[in-house]
Amino acid sequence: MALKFKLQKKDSGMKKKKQALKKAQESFLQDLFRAFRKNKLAVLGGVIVILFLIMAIFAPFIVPHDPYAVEIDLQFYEPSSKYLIGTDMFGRDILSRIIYGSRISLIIGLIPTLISMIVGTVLGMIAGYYGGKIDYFIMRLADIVLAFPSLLLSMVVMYTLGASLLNIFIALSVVGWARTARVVRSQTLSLKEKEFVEGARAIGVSKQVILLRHIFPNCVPSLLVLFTLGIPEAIMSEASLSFLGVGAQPPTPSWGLMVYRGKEFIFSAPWVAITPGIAILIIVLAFNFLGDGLRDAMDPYMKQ
Amino acid sequence: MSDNDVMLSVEGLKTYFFTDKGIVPAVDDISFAVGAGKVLGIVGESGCGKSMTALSILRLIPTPPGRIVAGNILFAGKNLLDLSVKQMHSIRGNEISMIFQEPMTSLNPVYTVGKQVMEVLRLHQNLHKEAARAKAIEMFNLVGIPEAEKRIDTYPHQLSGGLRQRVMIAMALSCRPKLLIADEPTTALDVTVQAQILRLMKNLQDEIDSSIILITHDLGVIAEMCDDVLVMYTGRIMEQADVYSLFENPLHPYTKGLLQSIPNLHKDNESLYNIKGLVPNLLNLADGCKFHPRCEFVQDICIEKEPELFEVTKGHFVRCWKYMG
Amino acid sequence: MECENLKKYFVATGKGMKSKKDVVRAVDDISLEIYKNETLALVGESGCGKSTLGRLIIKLLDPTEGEVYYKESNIATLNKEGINKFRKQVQIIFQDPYASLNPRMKVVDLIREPLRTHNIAKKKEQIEKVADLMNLVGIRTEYMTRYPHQFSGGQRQRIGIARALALNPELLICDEPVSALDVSIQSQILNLLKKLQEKFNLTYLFISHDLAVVRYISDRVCVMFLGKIVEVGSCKDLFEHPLHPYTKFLMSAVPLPDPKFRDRDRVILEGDIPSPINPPPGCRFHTRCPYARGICQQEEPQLVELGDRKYACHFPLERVI
Repeated sequence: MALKFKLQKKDSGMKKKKQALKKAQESFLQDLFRAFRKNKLAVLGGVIVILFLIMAIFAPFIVPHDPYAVEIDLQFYEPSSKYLIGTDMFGRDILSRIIYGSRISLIIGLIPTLISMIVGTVLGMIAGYYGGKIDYFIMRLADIVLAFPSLLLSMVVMYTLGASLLNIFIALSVVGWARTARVVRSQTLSLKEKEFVEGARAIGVSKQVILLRHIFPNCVPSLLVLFTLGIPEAIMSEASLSFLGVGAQPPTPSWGLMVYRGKEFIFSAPWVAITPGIAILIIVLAFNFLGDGLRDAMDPYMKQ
Repeated sequence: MSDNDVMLSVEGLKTYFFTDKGIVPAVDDISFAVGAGKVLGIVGESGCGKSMTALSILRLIPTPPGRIVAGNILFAGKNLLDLSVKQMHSIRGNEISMIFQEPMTSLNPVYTVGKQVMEVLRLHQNLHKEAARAKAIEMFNLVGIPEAEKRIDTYPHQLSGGLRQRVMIAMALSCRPKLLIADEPTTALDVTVQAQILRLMKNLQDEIDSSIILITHDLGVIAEMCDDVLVMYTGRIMEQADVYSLFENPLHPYTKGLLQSIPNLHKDNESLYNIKGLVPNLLNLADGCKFHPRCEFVQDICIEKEPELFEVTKGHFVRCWKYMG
Repeated sequence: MECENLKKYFVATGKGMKSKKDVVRAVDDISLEIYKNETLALVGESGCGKSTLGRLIIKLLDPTEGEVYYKESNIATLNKEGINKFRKQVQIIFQDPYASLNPRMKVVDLIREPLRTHNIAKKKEQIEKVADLMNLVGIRTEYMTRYPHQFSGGQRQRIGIARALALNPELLICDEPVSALDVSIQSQILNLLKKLQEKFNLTYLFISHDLAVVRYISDRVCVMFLGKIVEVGSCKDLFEHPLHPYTKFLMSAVPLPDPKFRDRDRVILEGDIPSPINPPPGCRFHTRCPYARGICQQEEPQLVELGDRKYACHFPLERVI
């Protein structure tokens, strides 16, 4: 009888538990969302970023023309109803090329940033938690990387390895990890002094598990912000490299490359260079607004 | 208390915080008066509104989200809530000054402590540099900082917690304020240093003849220092009395519970009394008496209707239905 | 549990151009025993080394010199298996209920972590154990999936206690467990600790600066000053008849919650606590002690045994018999 009663109690407990779980998760996200929503620019940024993602993913279905189709007859067609923002020197539809270019920008924005975040986080946590010689070595390496003008460093990498998309990934990752490592290291340093880390040690939790279970999740908010702010930087770098001729190679519809190729005709056919430039501007701004908004929204939560 | 003896009187003060999650009534309709040369203690647990009351008096509530929505604060014939920002500036630090809990964060780390005391003097008393310095040294001596002339040129982090609090007191008293508000002035200090600081405040009060509002969670400090006491809970005054009546004859179940929850240093304690439940969240207050979910003597009326402050004996007020009529 | 001649020095290195090494003698030559099922309180003001001593005992810090013995084995020389066993039997509760729980972990994971770390039982059984523990410390089991920031300070402290109890420890180091809590919550936690001690035959090392709390909870008291033990004795005896002047002054400094005692005879110590970087020679307390004489400045008093009491003073206060 008593046992049965206990079982029943447990059952209803489980139900309540599930509800509680849902509620706990909701309230965290709701908090974040509520704070985020108040920031109008951040919301605008978020909307643009979502549109950008849709554009990149569904590019083949929304382009009005083939972005690679060369039509010498249609050279420098002015913006019209058929070619909304005109054509370039090979008569290719610029709108279609910009839409396709978003794919390049997305890949360039995501992959090298992700690689440098992972490398930077791992190195930063190791440096911060273990300290001593490892810390010294990693941080001096990061200092050296940060001491170089980043564009110059990536140009050096591109020149040595040759211009290709893969090499842009490598170049941007080489440059990007150092800043993440620094941020993560300083967070790790302060987190490892916290009593909850001491508590975990007192329980006998191993160093690796402490890093994974206690330090890393507490770095996530700043990593998220670094990530959203890293993406536009990577997009910018790719555009700069392409503009300088060491990035994407023609006929790839990269926005930076389009600006570069169009600059000769800036007076005769300004739309060729200016429109991809505006695209870069918008997407970089949108990501920055989003990143700032996320950071601000996350801050009060962290303070609690 | 006749009218000319009253230094400060607060009437129907309400300070609300308008947050995303709802309205937080940090201070909800409180009235009290501080007599000239008296020490008024405000005691309560975290979130009871004791600090917010102090900040409201100085109009230092962070706005937004906070706002004083009702009430009068009468000080020296003026309603502080009607004053302009500029007039308020000339009162703060001059006629009413404040000491905070953590002297390290209320002192600016990049200036020497002497400079910070001198700044107050120069601002409010128009003293020139040398005079301000001389006066600052005098104040340092007064608050018992040894080697005052040397210490005046040190930075806050070079001083111990006790000395920093003495600097804060020197700064607060440098313009001989009529009212000193001390918000947990000794909570961050060790007991032996706390005893020094409390004694110092008491002595200086006699000397300067100012009134003090002492905010603390420590009933021991209240018993040691105050003339009158307010017990606050959820932004309200629960009990109000002179210190002897309050400790000898506490009326409110909350006050009684608090007193019984502290272990006695000079007695073997078999078992300690517990007030059940948690310190409530101001966003989510109970109906009726705000203490009823934790109260042992709860009756039906407590759940339905909030009691007013009943005067049980002269000057002894309590917000509890047990003492109605 | 026993420690012998335990010393912990921290070397504070001045950074930058002037690198000067200061040695902080946080714990300086301390020997003490903790007996089974007792509550030994470590009392002292900030900087006396009580928290450092607690961390040395639980091996969160390694001593500069000296040994800590747990059930006759030296914890410095334990092998991996031995350390694992030690970690299961000795646990710690921290002061700050806001910093001591990982803000990104749910309550269930927080309390389950010790079980998980030591691979005790399967996941399902672990969660059942978590529920039992939550009931035990008075947290509703529906709150299992909440995050620490959704709880008040007292509830968090309860979670911390549940976590410490998960491995059925024998010794619990309580590092100022109630000093960050409100008065009404403080008494709840103290009573909970007492109840748990009875139920599980726990031994407590209770670190606190609050003498009234110590009087309530402990069996024996050890008073520390600047890295040294000044006095040890049974709770009642020590509070009623302090032998060391420091103990007496510490007690007289505590404000009593009764205005009738306001004008009691009390001695208020002058001056500040000296810095542990450069402790005064001789008796460390002599700079503040009104009874200090010549010898106090030169010779450091040793810990003397007197019945079940110990004290380190050249001129102990008279014992009223």
